[in-house]
Amino acid sequence: MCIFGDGCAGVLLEPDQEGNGIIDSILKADGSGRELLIQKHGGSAFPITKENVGHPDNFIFQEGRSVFKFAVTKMADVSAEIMERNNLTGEDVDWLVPHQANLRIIDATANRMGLTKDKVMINIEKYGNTTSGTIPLCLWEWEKKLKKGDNIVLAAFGGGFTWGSVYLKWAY
Amino acid sequence: MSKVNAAITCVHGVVPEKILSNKDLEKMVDTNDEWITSRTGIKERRIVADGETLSDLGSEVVKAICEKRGISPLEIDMIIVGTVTADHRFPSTSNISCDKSGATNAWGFDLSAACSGFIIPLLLDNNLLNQEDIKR
Repeated sequence: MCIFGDGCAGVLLEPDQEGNGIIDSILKADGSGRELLIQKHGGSAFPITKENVGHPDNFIFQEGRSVFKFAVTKMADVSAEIMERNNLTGEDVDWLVPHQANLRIIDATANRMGLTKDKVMINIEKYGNTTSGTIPLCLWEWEKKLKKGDNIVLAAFGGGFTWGSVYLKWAY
Repeated sequence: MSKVNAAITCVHGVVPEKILSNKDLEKMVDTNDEWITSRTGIKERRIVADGETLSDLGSEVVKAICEKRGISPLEIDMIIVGTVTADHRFPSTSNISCDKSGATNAWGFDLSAACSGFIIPLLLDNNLLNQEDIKR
């Protein structure tokens, strides 16, 4: 697979008393999409044996077209939903931090949210898709530009399917 | 006790040095730079060195975060590792990272949620920070 890359990032979480931090979140899952984005072998259902070493199912499989269609809709939907229920307009949102899987999914989400491109963190060209690493790697790269109280929306979509968005206020 | 918000108070990232560009991939598999770039926006990605594992990168992140925030790794109460490429099936990469980073007062676990693997632990932690014995 040409789209994945290695990388690691982390955040420190501490209690906030000033009204910053995680304000709202929406998480969703639909396990009926499990066959469309999967590393099938290596678990108890299909252990790796000496007979199946090298089999394609030992590696990541993605039915690209179906995953794209689902992701482009769901990531935009959930991002719009979290804005709506927190009464946020595109102008109120300072940053969108989208999972970095595909530039067109990111663009569609930003458009749906009414955000200009300068408010969207994108580093997919350098690191590809680092799965759970994409969002904190963006936060790390943009850290110096972030200001206390900034309204930030995180948006992700992944295998499962699982997807969701988080609304947070930057705390420092 | 009233509910508190979890706030991100520090962030750090580590990427491997080795760069694998689309041009490099052209020599390995049947693809080309234009095809990958136009469909995904990806130009290059990083690849870990032989023998380098997630807990190596993860423990480096933990140590850097503690240094930036001015705390000791011993002050960390819990480490959640969101990953689909853990060092082993078990023990968890969280356990190993705690040991390698010196966060020996912490407990934790790995959480497998593929590309939602950052936001799901984030929200879990938002709730766990309301437990009296977890402060960070």
